[in-house]
This record gives sequence, C-alpha cells and structure tokens, in this order.
Amino acid sequence: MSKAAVSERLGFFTDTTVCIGCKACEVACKQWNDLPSDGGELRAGGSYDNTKELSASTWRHVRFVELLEPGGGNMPSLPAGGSPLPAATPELPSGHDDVDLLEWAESAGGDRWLFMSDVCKHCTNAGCLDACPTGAIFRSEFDTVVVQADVCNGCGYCIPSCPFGVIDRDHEDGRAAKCTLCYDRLQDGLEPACAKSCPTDSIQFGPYDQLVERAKGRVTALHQRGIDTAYLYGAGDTQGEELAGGLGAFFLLTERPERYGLPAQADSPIKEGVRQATLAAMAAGLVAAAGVAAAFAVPGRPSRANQLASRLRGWPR
Amino acid sequence: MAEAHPVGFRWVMKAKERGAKIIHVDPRYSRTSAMADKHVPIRAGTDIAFLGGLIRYVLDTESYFKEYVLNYTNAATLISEEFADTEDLGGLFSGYAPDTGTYDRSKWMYEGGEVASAAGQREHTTQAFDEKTGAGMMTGNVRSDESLEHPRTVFRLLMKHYARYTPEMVERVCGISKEDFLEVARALVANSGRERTTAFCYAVGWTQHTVGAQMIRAASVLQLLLGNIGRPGGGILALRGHASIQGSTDIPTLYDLMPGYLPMPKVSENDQNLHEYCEGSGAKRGWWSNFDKYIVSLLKAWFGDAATEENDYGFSYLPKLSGNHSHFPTMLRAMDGGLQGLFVMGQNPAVGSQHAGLQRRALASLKWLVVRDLSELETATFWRDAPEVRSGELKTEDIQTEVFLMPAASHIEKEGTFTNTQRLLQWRDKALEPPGDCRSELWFMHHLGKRVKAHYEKSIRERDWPIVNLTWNLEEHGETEEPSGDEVLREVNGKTIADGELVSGFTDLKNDGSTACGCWIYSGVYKDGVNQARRRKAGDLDAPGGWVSPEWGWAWPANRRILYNRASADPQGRPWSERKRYVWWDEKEGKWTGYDVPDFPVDKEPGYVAPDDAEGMDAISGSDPFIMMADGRGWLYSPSGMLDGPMPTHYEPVESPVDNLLYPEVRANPTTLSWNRPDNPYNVAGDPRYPLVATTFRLTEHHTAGAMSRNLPWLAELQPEMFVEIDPILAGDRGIEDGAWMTVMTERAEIEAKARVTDRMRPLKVEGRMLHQVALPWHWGFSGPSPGDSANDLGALSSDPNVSIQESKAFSCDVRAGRRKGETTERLSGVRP
Amino acid sequence: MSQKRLKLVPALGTRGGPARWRREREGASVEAHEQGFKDGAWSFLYGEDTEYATTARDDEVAKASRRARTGAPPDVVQGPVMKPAVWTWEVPLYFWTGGIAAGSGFVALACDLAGDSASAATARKVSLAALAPSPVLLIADLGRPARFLNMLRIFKPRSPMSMGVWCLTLFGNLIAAAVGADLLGKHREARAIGAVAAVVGGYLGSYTGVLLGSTAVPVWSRSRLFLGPIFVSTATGTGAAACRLALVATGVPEGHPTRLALGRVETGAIAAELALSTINERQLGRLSAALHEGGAGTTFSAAKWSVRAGLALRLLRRRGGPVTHHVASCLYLGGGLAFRYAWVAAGRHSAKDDRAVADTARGTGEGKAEQ
Ligand SMILES: Nc1nc2c(c(=O)[nH]1)N[C@H]1C(S)=C(S)[C@@H](COP(=O)(O)OP(=O)(O)OC[C@H]3O[C@@H](n4cnc5c(=O)[nH]c(N)nc54)[C@H](O)[C@@H]3O)O[C@H]1N2
Ligand SMILES: Nc1nc2c(c(=O)[nH]1)N[C@H]1C(S)=C(S)[C@@H](COP(=O)(O)OP(=O)(O)OC[C@H]3O[C@@H](n4cnc5c(=O)[nH]c(N)nc54)[C@H](O)[C@@H]3O)O[C@H]1N2
Ligand code: SF4
Ligand code: SF4
Ligand code: SF4
Ligand code: SF4
Ligand code: SF4
Ligand SMILES: [Mo]
Repeated sequence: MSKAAVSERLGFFTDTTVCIGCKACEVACKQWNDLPSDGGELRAGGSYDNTKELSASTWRHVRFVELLEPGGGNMPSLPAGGSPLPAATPELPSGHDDVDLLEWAESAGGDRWLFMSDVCKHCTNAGCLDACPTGAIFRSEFDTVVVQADVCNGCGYCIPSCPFGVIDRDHEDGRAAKCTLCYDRLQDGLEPACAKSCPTDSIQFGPYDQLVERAKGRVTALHQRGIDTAYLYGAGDTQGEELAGGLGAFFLLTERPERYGLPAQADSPIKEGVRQATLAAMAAGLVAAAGVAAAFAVPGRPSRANQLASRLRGWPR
Repeated sequence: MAEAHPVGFRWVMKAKERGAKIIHVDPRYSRTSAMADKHVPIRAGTDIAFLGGLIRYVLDTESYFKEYVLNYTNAATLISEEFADTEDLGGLFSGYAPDTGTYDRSKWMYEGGEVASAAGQREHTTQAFDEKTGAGMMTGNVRSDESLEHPRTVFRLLMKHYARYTPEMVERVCGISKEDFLEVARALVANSGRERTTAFCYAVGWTQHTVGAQMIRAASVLQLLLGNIGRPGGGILALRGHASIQGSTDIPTLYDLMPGYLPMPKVSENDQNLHEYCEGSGAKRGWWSNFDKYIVSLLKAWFGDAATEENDYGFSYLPKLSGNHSHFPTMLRAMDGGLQGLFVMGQNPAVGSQHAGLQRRALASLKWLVVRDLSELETATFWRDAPEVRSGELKTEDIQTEVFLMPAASHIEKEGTFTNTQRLLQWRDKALEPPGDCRSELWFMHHLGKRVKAHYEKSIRERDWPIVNLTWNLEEHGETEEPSGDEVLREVNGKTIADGELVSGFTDLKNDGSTACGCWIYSGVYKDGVNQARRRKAGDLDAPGGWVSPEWGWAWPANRRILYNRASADPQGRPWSERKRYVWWDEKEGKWTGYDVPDFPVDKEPGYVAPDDAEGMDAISGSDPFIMMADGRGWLYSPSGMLDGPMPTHYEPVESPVDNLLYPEVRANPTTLSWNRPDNPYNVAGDPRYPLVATTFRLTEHHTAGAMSRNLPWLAELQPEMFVEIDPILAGDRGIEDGAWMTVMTERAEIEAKARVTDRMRPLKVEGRMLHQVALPWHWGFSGPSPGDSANDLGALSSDPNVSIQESKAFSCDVRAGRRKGETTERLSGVRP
Repeated sequence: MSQKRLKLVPALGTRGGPARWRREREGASVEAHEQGFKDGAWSFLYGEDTEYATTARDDEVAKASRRARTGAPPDVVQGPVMKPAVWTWEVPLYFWTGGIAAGSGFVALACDLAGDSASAATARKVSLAALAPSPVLLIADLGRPARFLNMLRIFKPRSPMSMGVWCLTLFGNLIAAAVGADLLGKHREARAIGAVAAVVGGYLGSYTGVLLGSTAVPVWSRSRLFLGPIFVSTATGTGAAACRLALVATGVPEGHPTRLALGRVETGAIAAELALSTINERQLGRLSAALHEGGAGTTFSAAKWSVRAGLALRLLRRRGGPVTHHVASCLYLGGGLAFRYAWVAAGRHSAKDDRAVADTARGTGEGKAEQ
C-alpha cells in the first residue's frame, strides 16, 4: 500500500455559495463507508432536508435553509425533536384581497434558498477527542480526528462533548461514529469520497493552508461583488477568536451561523472548563469530607477528652 | 437544471463565476432558482406568451442583430399570398380544417416556391403519415425583399404576429410582472450581439405541452433574431433525459424514424421503391442531396450481400408505416384488445406515462408482456398490487397477461456509448460483470434475433426475406456469449464492402452499394480504426479555443461541437468579434478554419453566390450557414416542418382554468392530439371544480418513475415520501398543513401525498385574479420499498401534434386536506370499454 | 390502503462503520486515480480562468467572521445544533450509587476520626455495597459493554470520564480492601486504607459533576463550577443517610452520637445542596428553564420537595420519634436519586433547546456563566 507522501494537515473548505444542494456528497459518503440508510418519513418543516442531522450513519448532511419573502425568511425553527410544526409562515396575510401578488413577486428578488453540506469539523481543539476515555478517538497523521471503531466501547461521552452535534452513537451497533475524513482513502492518496462526488466543488479538499488561503481570497472576491455577508466559519480568524482552535473542515457562509444550526462560538468544552470544574469539585470534596468530620465533632459526641484519650489509647474497638 | 442535470450545472456555475447572469423561468422556486441571479415565476404552460413578448420587445426596440438577421435568416423572404395570420383569422392560421383538426400547410409557403424543413415531415407522421416527406426540399425560386419593407416579408409578418404580445399582456397571461419581464428582456438584449451571446437551456418544462415543439420554436426565433445560433456561448440547449436519450433518437427507438433521421417509408404510394423514397425524402438542394447514399449504405449494413441494386437493396422489404404508432395510440390499442404482446425494455409506463391508470389497464389487456429491467418494477407487478387491483376493479385471477421479467445489466455492467445533449458520444468500458442472469440489451437482442432467425431459416416466403437475410453475425465472447459493443460501433461507423475497411466519415459513403453504414451521422466515430468516442483528452485551456476539446469523445456530425458554426463569422467570413471567434475563413489558405470543425464546405468562399438552378450543396451560397436548410437560412418563419403553425402562438393547455387572453376565440392548440373516450375524461376547460394549475417536476434525489431510486435506500431516504408543493395561502384556504396528508383530484383520479407548504410556491396574479399552482414530483409508484401515489394517475392523454409528447407539465386540478377516500383511479372504474 | 411506513434496510453492510472497506487485492491501489491527492487538486471552478477568488484581505476576512459570530443572534435558529447525551437510566442511578459510596467513605473516615470504628466499618460496608452495582450500571450503559476494559487502555487526565473510571476502579479496590481488612480483623490497615479511599472518594463523589460540566450542553456547562459541589453534597447527604439507616439496622441505639452526627451531616449536606442549587439556578438565568420544564422539571421539583420534606421533618419535628428521622433519611435518599435523574434529564432537554444552545454559544443568553 502506498502511503501518501504528504502528511501535512488536510481538510475541507466547504463553499456554500456554490452548493446546489444535490446531496451527492451525502450519498457518496454512505456508499464509500457502507453506512446504512435510515429510512424515515417526510419531515415537516424540513424543506428538502429529510435527513435532519448528522448521525452515526450519516456523516455528511446537507442542510436546506429557506429564506424567502414574505416570510422574511421566517422558516420556523425546527424543534430538535422533530415535532410537526403548524403550516410554515403563520404570519402570512390572510385577507387575500390585500395581498399585492405582483409586489410580492417583486420582493422575491431577495429570495434565497441556502444549502450547506455539514460534516465533522475536525477541530483543532476537538471536544470529542478530549472527552474520549478509551482513546478510540485519535488525531491522525493528517491532523484529522478519527474514531477507531474497534476501540470505541460506546460510552457516549464524546456526544455531548462535541459543540457541533456531530458525533453520535449508533443505536444498533453501539459505537460512536462520524466522518473520518476518509482516513482510508487519504492513506492511499485519494480525495475523500464526498469531495470527489461534489459536482460544483462546493466541497474542496486539500492541504489546509492552501485551502485557507483560497477561502480567504474567495471571501474577498465575494465582498468585492457586493456579497458582504460572506465570511469564513472556522478559519481565517485572528488568534483568540478561532472556533475550537480552528476547524479542519471549515465553511464559507452568508448568513449568521445559527441559521445553519451552527454555534457562533465554540471550543472543546473540556479545554474550556475542565480545570476550573475539577478544582471546584475537588475543593468541594474536601470541604465535604471536612464537613462530615466536623459534624462528628460537635457536642453530643463523647467529650473531647474522651476522644483524645481513646485516640491516645490507640484506635480502640 | 441544478435539479435534474447537477453535473452539467457545474458549467453554469463556472459561467456564473466568470460573470454570466443566470435567469431561471419556472413556476417553482427550485434549487436552480436558488443558484440563479433571477427567478421569474411563470404560470405553467404560458411560455410562448412570455417568449412572444420577448420577440416583440426585440423587434419593437430594434435590438435584433441586423446583419445576422438579414444575411442568415429568412427575414427577407416573401411569403405567399395564401398565408393568413392569427391576427386575421382570430387565432388560427390559414388552411385550418376544423373537421380533421389539421392544417393544410401548403398555405404557408414561400412565395414562388415550395420548401420543406431540415427534418422533413418525418416526425409529422402522427397526423400526416401519408404525406410526402421531403427534407430540406425547395422548389421554384423564392423572392425576397432585403429592405424588409414588403408587408409579406417574414420580418413584417413576425412583427404583425407578435404585436399583441405586449408586456402588459405577458403580465396578464403569465403572471410575470411588467418589471420582471422588462428586466429579463433588457438583460437578454444587452447580452446579445457581436461581443456577447446568450444561451437558452430547456428541458421538459418546455416540451411536455400540447404546444411543446412551438415553445422551442419560439426560443429559436428569438435566438435567431439576437444572432445567438451557431456561435460559442449561444444556442438552444436541449438538456436531455435518460443517459443517451439523444442516442436513442439518433439511432432511434422511435417508430417513425430509421438511424440517422432517415424517415420510415410509408404505405403511401410514394414510398414503394427506393427511387421514389429518395425523391420524396431527399432534396435537390443542400446537404440532404446526399440522402440516397445514406439509405443505400444502411440497407447494405442490414442485408449485406442480399442487398443488391437489382432488388433495390431490399428497400421494399422494409416495413411501411401505416399510422400513428406512438406510445398513446399503441396503449389505447392494447386497451381495446388489439395488441397481443409488448416488450417493455427500460421503461416503466405503469408509473411514468401520463394517465397511468389507463396505462395499467392497457397492460392488463395484453396476452404477454416482456419486461427487461434492473429491478422488479410496477410495470411487472401491476397484476398483483396496482391500485385497480387493490380496489377490486381488476382481479388478479382475471388478468390474463403473462409477464416475463428479465433481469437487465446496468450501464456499468456493459460497454457502449452515451450520446449527450451536445451530440457528444462518450464510450464507456464495462466496469463489472453483471450479476447472475442479468444480461445486456445487446445480448438479449442478439440472442433473440438468433432464435427468430433460426425459426425462419428455411422459410421461402417472400415476406420472411428480411428476417432470413438480415445480417446477424456478431461474434460472441466469453461464457455468457456476449456480443461486443465495439463491433457494433464499427458497423455503425461504416465500412467499404470490398475490403471491409472502416470509412472515415459519411463523405465516404456511396449510393452504389459499395459501402455499408449503420448510421450515417455517426460515421467517423471509428475513424482511422480508433474508437474516437473513447478519447479523453481535454483541451488546453490556456490556448485560444482550447476549451473546445475536440479530442474528448466524438461528436456527430464529423466531430463538430457547434452546429451551423459558420454563423460565428460574418458574411465575409470574419469573426463577428475577437471575443467570440470560433470558425472563420482563412483568406491565405483559401479555406474555412477555426477551433471547431467548420460546419460548411471547407473551401467554399464566403463570396460564392449560388446560381438559381444549382443543385446539391452548390445551391448553398458562401454566406448561408444553415446548410441543412434548403435555402441555407435560419427560419424565423417555418413554412413547413411544424404542423401547428409557421410562427409560435400562445394557446392554453388542454386543461386550463384560464381563458386564452391572447386569442379569446381559440382556447387550446387547435391541432392537439386528444382522445375523447370514456376512459380518458378531460377536466373541461374552465370547469370551476378544478381551479388550480398543476405541474410536475423532478427531484435530484430520484430518477423518473423511481425504479432506480426508490429501490435504493440511500436515495429513497433523502426524499422518502410522495409530496406536493403548494403555497401557504392555498394551504391556509384549504386547511392543509406542512407535512400532513393532502389529496389532489382530477377527473381521472385522486392521489394523496404529504403537503410541502412553502414560500417557494407563489400564487400568481393572472387575468386579474389570484391563481395557485400545485407542483407534483412524479417519482412514486405503488410497488417496492418506498411506495407512494403516482402523479401520472392524475393526467389525461393529450399530445403535441408534432412529436406526440404528453402534456404533463400543465393541467388543472383541485386539492383538499386529508387522505384520499378510495384507490387512486377509482374514478375510472367501470368506464373501461 | 394506508401507506406503508417507510422502513428501509441498510443498503449494504455495517452500522457504525467504516470497517468493511478492503482492497480486493491487498496492496493494490485504485486504478485511474492520481496519487498524492492530485484529483482533488483539479477543479473546473477555482482555476485561473474564473473570478472565483482574489488576493485575500486577511483583516477583512477576520472582520467578516467577527461580524457574523458576535453581536445579536438571528431571529431563527435552524437546529438541531448539538446532540443530547444518549445515556439512559443506568447513568443517573450510577451517579447515585457512586455518590452514596463516596459519601459513605467520608462517613467511615469521620467515624474513625471520631473513634467510632465499629460504625466506620459499617460505613465502609455500606460504601462497598453501594459501589458494587456501579460498574455494572456503567457497563450496562455502554454501547459495547464487552469493551468496558478499553476504558483502562489509557490514562487521560483531561477526560473526566477517564479519570472517573480510574477513580472508580481505585476506590472500588480500596474500599474492597478496607472491608476485606475489616473482615480479616486487620483494623489498622482497614482504617488506613479507608482513609485513602475517602480522599479518593472526594473525587468519586464530585467528578460526575465535572463530567457533565465539561460538555457542551448549556445547562451543564454553565453550571460547571457548581455541579461538582452540588453533586458532592448529594453524595455526602445520601451517603450519610444510607449509613445512618444501616447503623440503625445493625442495632446502633437511638441517641448514639454517630447517629446524631449522621443526622446532622445529612441535614447539612442537603441544605448545602439546596442552597447551591438555588444560587446556580440564579446564575443560570434563562438556561435554568431546562431544570424546570418537562420531565426534568418534574423530577427536579420532586427531588426538591422530597429533600425539603426531609429537612422539615428534621428541623420542625426535632422531637419526633426515630421513625420520623428514618423517613427523613429515606426522603433524602429518594430526593438524591431524583436529583441525579433530574440533572441528566435537564441536560437532554437543554441540548435540544436550539435557542439555548445557540445563545449560550454566542454569549448572548442571559445565563452567561462567569468563568
Ligand atoms: N435527478 C434526476 N435527474 C434527471 C431525471 C430524474 O428523474 N432525476 N430525469 C432525466 C430526464 S428523463 C429528463 S427528460 C430530464 C428533465 O429535466 P427537467 O426538464 O429539468 O426536469 P423537470 O423537473 O421535469 O422539469 C423542469 C422544470 O420545469 C418546470 N416547469 C413545469 N412547467 C413549466 C412551464 O410550463 N414552463 C416552464 N418554464 N417551466 C415549467 C418545473 O417546475 C421544473 O422545475 O432530467 C433528466 N435528469
Ligand atoms: N408527469 C410527468 N410524467 C413524465 C414526465 C414528467 O416530467 N412529468 N417525464 C417524462 C419523461 S421526460 C420521461 S423520459 C419518461 C420516463 O419514464 P420511463 O422511461 O417510463 O421511466 P424510467 O423510470 O426512467 O424507466 C427506465 C427504466 O429502465 C431501467 N433501466 C436502467 N438501465 C437499464 C438498462 O441498462 N437496461 C434495461 N433494460 N433497463 C434499464 C430502470 O431501472 C427503469 O426502471 O417519463 C415521462 N413522464
Ligand atoms: S468535536 Fe465534533 S466537530 Fe470537532 S472533531 Fe469532534 S466530532 Fe468533529
Ligand atoms: S463513545 Fe467511543 S468514541 Fe465516544 S468517547 Fe466513548 S469510547 Fe470514545
Ligand atoms: S470525508 Fe469521507 S467520511 Fe467524511 S464525510 Fe466525506 S466521504 Fe464521508
Ligand atoms: S456540497 Fe456538493 S455534493 Fe454536496 S450537496 Fe452541495 S453541491 Fe451537492
Ligand atoms: S446521473 Fe449521470 S447524467 Fe445525470 S447528472 Fe449525474 S452524472 Fe450526469
Ligand atoms: Mo426524459
């Protein structure tokens, strides 16, 4: 097997401005990784997205964001439980006579339907990796974050530790799984399956630094074209402002992150707070132990002298 | 296009990155609209009104490409006095016969001559099957007026015809605001001319109408006026359907064509021998003067040594066309008990064909049915689980159809070519052995043919001659005795009879029986003994014109990438502009040259003027780029070729809740093919019970009738259930909620689906009132792991008169909340004859 | 006919992959594919011949991102943003048993310090008894129970779960050894080992709070500094209650100083718990909704009322007979259990509250925790 010569950091730059929402990436990923279909039903309020979220059996997921007048882009927030919603845009004008349809049609100029192919971010500060107690999750020679399926025991700790809701435990198989950035393909010098299948190069794969450079240039170009809401999610930030230390798989977005179900700020939660939390907890533990001891020391006990005496007598029965 | 041609759409995305403006005209806001700079919602079925409006705008503002129009189109040609326009006859052209619903097209001729279109009338057989064909034929001398002043010049007629297609009219008919319309018009004009070109891409949103062919014609007129034909970045691009659907019209699966668009001979007296057939089908002027070479070579390919000059190369043994045998008439024949058996190979009419309930009833009337497919699909299971069976109307025990389901090899399991939209042939090697008993079509036809031939081997009956003498000797390979696609491609390319040498193109073909060729337009695909379609050399993008990539695959004819590309140069043979340089006259060398293979006789000087009595290619002047046309001109007005009028005219769909505002006297296309029978009831125009416009569409996630995608869990999960897209106002009115069940009704059926209530659907203001459109994907059927009701259960049989295409993009319907009460097509119970 | 519910089988093989990918021929590489990621480097889109990108303006890029990621959030959050923990009932139950084990460890130490070594031995037994089911519960909750031992493959200080498991193992061994020593009559050793166990128990009783607090779940992570103390209080309270009941059962008479002391410990710990919880709820702001809504809310208030009732019994009816006190202990134990469930359930609720997750991340939620 020919190991790829390079082992610099590899990643994804997903440019949502050229994504056509075809879901080829989602299918290619399932096919390459032999992931099962989840079946399912048409999802109320889900636009063309019936997948809903990344999961143990869906490592690429194309989100659909409908931003159309006159709802003003008020596609209702989808409760995570997937409970059915009432009809979209309830605040539509009801008396039809006063709807000026032609005016409405003209307001359509601002209509947008955004597609975004979501994936594991391969964080520099990976919450999942920090959390994993078995070492199943490791950082590969390509600086990607990979789960070893044969080590994972399904403790599930990585799941709430990922601020992006990526990794999940398979309900049948019991192990946690997520995008490997096609570790097996990378080892063979091949482009990941999803990027390979993307017809419009919305998913761009390559050496991280190159990608970041290109992505920054893209943002600048879009700004020059008047799309000043374009920004990079996960790369190109000044130090201290990065998302999870910088995302190995980063995105070019044109709406605020929450519209795509992404947090505005994120870091490995363990990196963020485990120290303080541990100190607080240990301190509390000591206080508690001391408190218990103290409780034994208040009146109503055998007298102090007694205690002292018995102690001097050496641990009586 | 992003939805149904996502991979091709990457080039649109690239164009966009290079500054192109994308405009999407579609009733729905789709993934394509999302990528476009502008989405223009339109009422389904009204594109001619819209395009007519654009034509009027271009004429009115004099923004047409004057030199191009004058020199390369028939704008200056005079039309006979017998012609009368819709303006004069209240929505009809002259020559209409109400009893037959057809036109006498001789009333539309050029003054002083008779002329036929490049395609002849071969596709017209649906109505005119007994007429003489005559491709690119022109007799007599036509007159023209270069000043365009004469009221009977094509140009003046065009102005008159489109005078009523004003922006206000477009707004009333299509529901497109005047501002939107003008924005599109201005963009179009600004982006056409010497320096810039505009391309039109269309697919079945334009074709599946009773005026489908005329919609494309309207775009052609517009593009000719703007000078966007035969030039890089221009054209009207038909985005094709199934892989190689283009190939299947080139080497056709159509009943009225033979390979290379040679018309099927007809029972009429004119086609009784080869000479008459060539006289009638070929032409004296233009390229079709070579007609006899192609048919003789084809007959030699079919009958080999048995085809001799004495027996007319076996011509008289070809079956003769007796009438319309397109899909609908055939199924109706089955319905009426007139059909014994049927081969269905790679098709799913039980789901995919309009009025699917009738299609299934027709299948149930057959004695036998052979289905070759990748999976067990509805067309093979209808006898046990069709809605009609579930409802009890048909009983499995009573259905006599014996179904033979044969497993087919898929495209990766066999070798062959795909011909795409650009007429580009791309060879594909076999990647895998087909599993189990799956076999290729080639294997099946070859072995079936062998058995048939063996059966007739000893026959001396005259009528069995073509079977006995058919050349059927492909070599068989391997355990499965698979013939080689490569060998077929060689036969298609053509060879000399004497030494079996592959010919290098159709110019090598002869009419004396010394060459054999399976399809003349594909001749050259095996040039120099190399499978040209297997080439994969991309051009050098840095070199001028490198993007043409002539060594990637092979395009018919003669590896030409843009047809009529002589039009990319001005009449003197100089490029219209440096930016749009493509093919030009090289003065020094004295020949045509360029990035592409010139679509013109290479050494014909631009200044050559054809004498009046010239024949063959000599009749084409050096400045006439449209060499397949008898007059060498692009037709703004088509005196022949279309059955429903020389100029596109707006008619409403057969089923429409809206009156024809442009021609109140005529509602629908007067030449529409319709079948008024109890099992094919129509929603009578204007029926208040059906106030909504329905249209159908595809999803990226599914493929056509679904047998290839609903059976594949990875795709099925992406769009797991049949749904209908409706706008929020309609939903509010009818109490329909997103994700909940709803029912769609027509005279034929009631189907249920989940509702997709979305702002992407938008009611339009049409005729001054609010009009709702309902859009249905049509990928679901009753069988398999992801079943759902079929949109096609709703439709009625009705066709465009020119090409018999179904009107599945616009019909009327109604919707309500909740699930259907009975089986989908219960409304038809009992109407079966 | 009713539409069949779409149930699709896996298209190919394995859930949880990717395990099956194998070359047909070992060592073979994929043909017609250019090595060294060359295929990926080709693009129709971002070559020189388009205006795809231009020379980057770094500051502008960073600013654009800052603009989008700070300030007011959009009206709509189109979640789900994150995933709730998949833990089922075993985990909170384990939190409870582990807590009792740790609390009992404290009690044992205190008894020893106070010179009541008989009670200390009993407390150690209680601790062992409470601990015994803990690994079983933990293992039962694993997706792959057979691979429990993989937890002990590595020692990972930054992962609270890794530390917790090691701590549990250590504590378990220590307490078992101590009880063993007790049984063998080696009291000195028992006391010494018990003392070490109690110290380890300080982490055992609190790490679960750290574990929850170090996730991205808003209600947990924003309770980061409180969860450890709260959990240790619960541990102490429930441990003391369990020991007290155990002592009663083993015949330690009413009025015995250890019984009295344990009563005080219970009351003090539970009071501390309630106080800490209240402060925490305050500082959580809107996020505390997760503790008040739905199933978690019900359990949480049940827990509170349960321990409040216990406190009331203790404080208001000091004179009540022993039964009152026993009931109070039981209420503490039950309340403790309910607290554990409530916290885990609240996490689930909170992770599913897209708005809360988003606002917490953006730092615009009211409940921005001080760090
Ligand atoms: N993923 C996928 N790709 C496919 C196919 C598939 O099934 N799935 N099928 C293949 C085949 S066989 C074909 S023929 C092509 C077809 O490709 P398309 O023609 O692109 O497919 P459709 O979605 O049927 O129709 C296109 C659009 O026409 C719109 N439309 C409907 N009525 C009208 C009208 O009156 N005027 C206008 N302007 N627009 C209208 C519809 O809303 C729809 O968005 O796709 C091919 N590619
Ligand atoms: N309402 C509505 N109806 C429509 C349309 C619409 O837009 N709206 N579109 C129309 C159009 S454009 C089309 S093209 C038709 C399509 O309609 P059909 O052709 O009836 O439907 P398909 O599902 O494409 O059927 C193709 C079948 O070929 C099989 N197949 C694939 N490869 C092979 C092979 O190599 N060998 C063999 N033997 N079989 C193979 C597939 O499994 C599939 O079942 O539907 C038409 N119907
Ligand atoms: S924390 Fe989440 S996004 Fe980051 S590497 Fe882990 S799973 Fe991927
Ligand atoms: S579930 Fe598996 S991958 Fe996730 S933390 Fe536990 S052992 Fe690690
Ligand atoms: S990199 Fe590989 S594993 Fe990750 S999403 Fe793409 S195809 Fe799937
Ligand atoms: S990222 Fe690419 S493959 Fe995925 S949906 Fe977008 S365009 Fe399609
Ligand atoms: S399925 Fe094939 S033909 Fe259709 S878009 Fe994809 S690659 Fe092109
Ligand atoms: Mo098609």
